[in-house]
Amino acid sequence: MPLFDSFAISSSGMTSNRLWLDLITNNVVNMNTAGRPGDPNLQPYRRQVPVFSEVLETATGSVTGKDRLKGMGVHVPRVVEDPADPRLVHDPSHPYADEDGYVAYPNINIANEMVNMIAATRAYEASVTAVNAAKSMALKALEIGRG
Amino acid sequence: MNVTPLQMILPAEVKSGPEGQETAGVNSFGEVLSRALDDVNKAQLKADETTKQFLTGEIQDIHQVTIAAEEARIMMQLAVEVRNKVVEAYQEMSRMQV
Repeated sequence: MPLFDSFAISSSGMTSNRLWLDLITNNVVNMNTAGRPGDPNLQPYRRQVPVFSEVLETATGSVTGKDRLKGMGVHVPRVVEDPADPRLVHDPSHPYADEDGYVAYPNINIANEMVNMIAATRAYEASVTAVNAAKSMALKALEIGRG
Repeated sequence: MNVTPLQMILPAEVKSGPEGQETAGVNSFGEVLSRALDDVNKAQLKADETTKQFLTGEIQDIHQVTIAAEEARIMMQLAVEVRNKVVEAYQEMSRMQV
């Protein structure tokens, strides 16, 4: 039913933003998941970033070509790792320290993660607002002819 | 003063919906109504099913449950609104002077 398309679209946005928040939370809690520099068996945690992608309505019947497909929301086709280098901290007493006494900490900046958390929360709220707008439009339509 | 006749302003023909649908008699009022009620019922069942799946842990997103419930609520309200209109029309008929 076309009326509920906007519900489905908003729902996909909320699901994607919840997944984003999951990844941010995972990044935050793994801030101290260290590794040994240059040791492939003891890699530090790497910051994970979602890749958002548009969902297009599946082509049915007369609809041909991408330009005529209707956007039907957003999804996260894959999660990529931040390629930035790990942060090296000099801590010879750490069990993962290399011969020079350096430990590789994840490439996570807590301030960035907090800002992303705000962005994810606000994006989720925006989807909720869109759902409420669609709902109030539908309910307003029901008031036609009343009274 | 030059007065434009009304016919020129109005569109030549006002079409009321797809042609041939009413004359064919395929979609009678009863059929349409029962199909709409079926849809409403399906929405209610879907909302129930979603709630159940959330409680059993198959769905992790709260918003899926609330959105399904909202859809069911709006469809139910639409059905109630249509019912009100039908009852209103019937009462209008029954009040007719004989």
